[in-house]
Amino acid sequence: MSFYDLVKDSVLSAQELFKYRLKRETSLPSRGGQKDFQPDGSWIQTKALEAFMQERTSILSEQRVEKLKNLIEGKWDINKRLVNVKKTGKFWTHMGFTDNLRNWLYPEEALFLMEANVLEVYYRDLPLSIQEAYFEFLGPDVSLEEYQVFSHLRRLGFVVLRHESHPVITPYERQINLDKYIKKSQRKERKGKALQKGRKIIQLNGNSQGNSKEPAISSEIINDAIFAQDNLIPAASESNGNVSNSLKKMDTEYNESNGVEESVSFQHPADSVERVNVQPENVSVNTFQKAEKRCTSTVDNKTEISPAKIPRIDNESISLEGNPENAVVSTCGGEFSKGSSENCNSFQSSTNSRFYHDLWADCLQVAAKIHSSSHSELEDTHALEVTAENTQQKQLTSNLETHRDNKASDSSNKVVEPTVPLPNIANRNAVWLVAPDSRLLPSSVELNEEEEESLMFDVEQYRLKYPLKPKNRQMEKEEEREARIASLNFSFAEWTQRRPLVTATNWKDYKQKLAERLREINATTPVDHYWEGDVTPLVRPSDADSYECILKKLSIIQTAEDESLVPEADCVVSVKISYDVHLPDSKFKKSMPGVPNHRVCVTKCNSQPPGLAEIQELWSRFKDDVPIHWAVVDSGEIAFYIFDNSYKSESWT
Amino acid sequence: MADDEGTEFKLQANSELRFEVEAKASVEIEMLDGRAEMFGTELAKNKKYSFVSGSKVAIFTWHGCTLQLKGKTEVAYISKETPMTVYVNTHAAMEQMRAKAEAENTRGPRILVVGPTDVGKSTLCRILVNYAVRLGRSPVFADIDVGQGNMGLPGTIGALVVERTADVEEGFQQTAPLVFHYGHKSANDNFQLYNMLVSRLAEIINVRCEQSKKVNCSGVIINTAGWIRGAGYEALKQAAGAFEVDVICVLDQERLYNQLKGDLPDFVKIVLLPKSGGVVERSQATRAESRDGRIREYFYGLKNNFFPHGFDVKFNDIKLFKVGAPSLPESCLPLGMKAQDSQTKLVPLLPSHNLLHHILSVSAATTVDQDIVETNVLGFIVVTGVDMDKSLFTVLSPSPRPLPRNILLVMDIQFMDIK
Repeated sequence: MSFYDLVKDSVLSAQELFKYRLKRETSLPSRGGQKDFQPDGSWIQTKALEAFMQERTSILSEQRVEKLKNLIEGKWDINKRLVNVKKTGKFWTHMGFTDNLRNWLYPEEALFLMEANVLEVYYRDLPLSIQEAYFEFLGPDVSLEEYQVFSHLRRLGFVVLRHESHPVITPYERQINLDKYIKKSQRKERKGKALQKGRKIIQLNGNSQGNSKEPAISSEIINDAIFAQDNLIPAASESNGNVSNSLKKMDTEYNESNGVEESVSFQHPADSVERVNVQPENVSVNTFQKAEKRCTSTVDNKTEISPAKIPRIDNESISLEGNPENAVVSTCGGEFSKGSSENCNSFQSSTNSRFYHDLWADCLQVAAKIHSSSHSELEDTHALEVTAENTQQKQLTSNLETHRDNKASDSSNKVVEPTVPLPNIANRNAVWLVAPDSRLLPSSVELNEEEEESLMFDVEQYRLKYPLKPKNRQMEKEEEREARIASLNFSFAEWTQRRPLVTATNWKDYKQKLAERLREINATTPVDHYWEGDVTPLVRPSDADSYECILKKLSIIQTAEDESLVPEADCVVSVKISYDVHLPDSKFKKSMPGVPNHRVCVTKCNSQPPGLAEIQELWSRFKDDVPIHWAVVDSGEIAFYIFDNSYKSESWT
Repeated sequence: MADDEGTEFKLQANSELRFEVEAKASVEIEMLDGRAEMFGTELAKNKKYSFVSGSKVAIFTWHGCTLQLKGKTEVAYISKETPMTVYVNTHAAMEQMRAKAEAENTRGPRILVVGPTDVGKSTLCRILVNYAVRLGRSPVFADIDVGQGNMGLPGTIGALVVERTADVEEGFQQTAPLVFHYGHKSANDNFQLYNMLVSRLAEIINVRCEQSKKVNCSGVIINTAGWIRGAGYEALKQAAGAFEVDVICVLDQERLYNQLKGDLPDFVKIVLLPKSGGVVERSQATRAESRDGRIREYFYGLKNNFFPHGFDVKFNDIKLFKVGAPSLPESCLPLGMKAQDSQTKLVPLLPSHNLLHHILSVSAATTVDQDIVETNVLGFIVVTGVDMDKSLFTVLSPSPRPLPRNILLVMDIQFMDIK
């Protein structure tokens, strides 16, 4: 018996192979042409439909033929949820990873390769059928929608990797070109660490998505569907030659039942993750089976206008107390009508011209004169300065007097005093107020002196009524930071910090002394000589209040833009990015993929679009300009959306 | 809560009636008997005062009075516990200082009112100014709160010499305030410019005080914004230094009080005052609405009694500027070069569609050579339409054409004119 005799049943001969090489005029099957809205019973319509159906069934029933030696063997490891391959093929350049001297493939990659007739996965020494593979591989870590997006993008040619939430190489390292110099061993180390972190997160996220139910449902339905079918071919124990046939048949049935499965899965109760039913526009429902999709929905870069309206309300409710003046002046929705202003034209304004009278013009002129002649010795400025000094002196004496008086009255609690002190409720339990002289009060403002109560302000009661507001986290953080900065230890402390406080008796004095102090500090640093030449340091020692100040000055660490919009971490569900997509490029290196060209986040069509808080949090996660696509999956149809973030940049012209 | 005939409130001495007008409604108050005042302005007997929707009003009486209220209010109640005695004492102390200043021919007392948001700073300032005016003084009221824009519009700071008490319905009469263009809703957006403008305001006020003895000894009352942490605190200190204040009133925040006491020299008197129970905390939305309302009030008047004019302005007739350019960090510049002060730089602009709905300030400057950043503005206009083909834009202006000056400064703040 020759080798040929042994295998002649399973291996196809050259003639047979040729048979399978069908030539087709068009590479893409037709999508149906113009839509008919109702059956009108015409012969031409039925004929067109028939032809369409025939073309479909022929394509679906097509048998895919592949070289035997191209079939790679893999083993499914259920604990790790990965497929182990010994020999790797052409796909290895952009799929899978190596770990502990073994080659592994992710479940979605393995599933894709199985459907592409390249991989055969064994589990418990038996090869898995496609339906079993779907059941096994898709689980909490990879949902059905994620797999659909993955396979769609792969078929288009992109290189799709799992999202690297903890970048192995930081953007800073990339910026300074350090990534080329990191040794391979170091990179692997980092990657291992990142993977460990990443896997935990994926599991957590995956659980919250609650996808584990779906494959269970799918397998039940498939089993039912299969038993109902006539052309049942047992999946297991097929010899390799007919694997393709059986797989093909299984595919067909699976896909047909898939349609059922998909429609069921969307009646599935809502996930544990919040979202309410909102249908985004432009998701066309098409029953074209996903296994045979060639080029369906193109990558749509549409800016979502409707969700933007919702986030405006979110913004206000999420806003922080730190900077209260950051609210958006309402601008949405208003339509300006020229008519209203034209009506105004016909009326004369009842008041005079309401531009301000420029009564301050002369003051400005005087101020300008003071500036321009501050160096020369003009009489008027001199006179002004002299009078200013005089007033200051007098002010100084009067201040001292009142200060002394106040001190005297504060210490005693007598009611009637010649001078009225400024009331102060700090550090006191009650404040006794004085009924001021009637000369000091405007007419009809009178305090009843008889009632002692009206003259006493009960500070304790006030404090009880208005207790201190519980500080929100931002304020607490700020206070902590201030306390930290205050407790910093500086070298040369005697020169920066431990100087006696500037004391003065009036403002002019105070300002002079402060200026002198500043000059002293700047002039007598130990590193003065650096400023002597042309090239000076970027940071002055007097600027060094904290790490943040210095880094800000050097602009190394960039703060998140629009900080008021960054929400507190515990109130926002962070968006899970599923994949990093790279362009199909022969120069792509799996060991060092670089910055992805796109990032994809997979959502279902019945989940709510992300709010402004989530989008902002997402953007602040990544400092690079990589666009983030939302892939909305609806029964196998995928639509891609991008949020337009150009509003962030303020551009005038 | 009140029907068409109105509810009568009988107030005892030292108590006040507090009410909030419901949205899209108006309330009418009439004093039937006794004497009462609203934030320092006396009410006339048997005169009807109307308040627009959203107003929060408190009418206080020292002697007792009867008030009649007509209209829909969210809340209306009488309160006997008010800090008015404390405020009156503050005023009396200030008045003493003024009397001394008058006698000795020196500068009057300058008071800075600080505190977190929603404690009643603007109200306290109003009370103090009103009481001073009622005694015949002419204090200067300065408002450096860029967010709310009680003086001028939001996005500006300004000062006013007050010679008459504030009108109950309309507030202080602003025919000739000194207003500087800042351009943003928050002092955080352009910190350097804010400090520069505050110093400039103080400088001009000093000059004004020199010119008139009466104004000089009446002193200055300064209202601030509610931003008191971090850079906001620095801004407060700078304002205190620029105005050379004598007294700082901190409303309701002990922490700020302690900080200021530690940081400022001894000759500045710092006191902590209680806030009134009638103070209502506003949400961001309400604040934004009140800003919008302020802009609308500027153009249309509080009771829609002003008729602004809309006309076209050619691009060639005017010069557009904005203050502040994006700054390069010094580490990016070539060695030896220094970054200029770009935050306060005047940047000329080309007219484009970006200007639509923005508010423009009409600068008092007549030529480009003057320091436009530090020159006051005469008023504001809104760009309601831009026609690039005909090179003109349509504006809404408080007075008919032509514009009094042709140098315009663009603000970040936008206004949609919806009738």
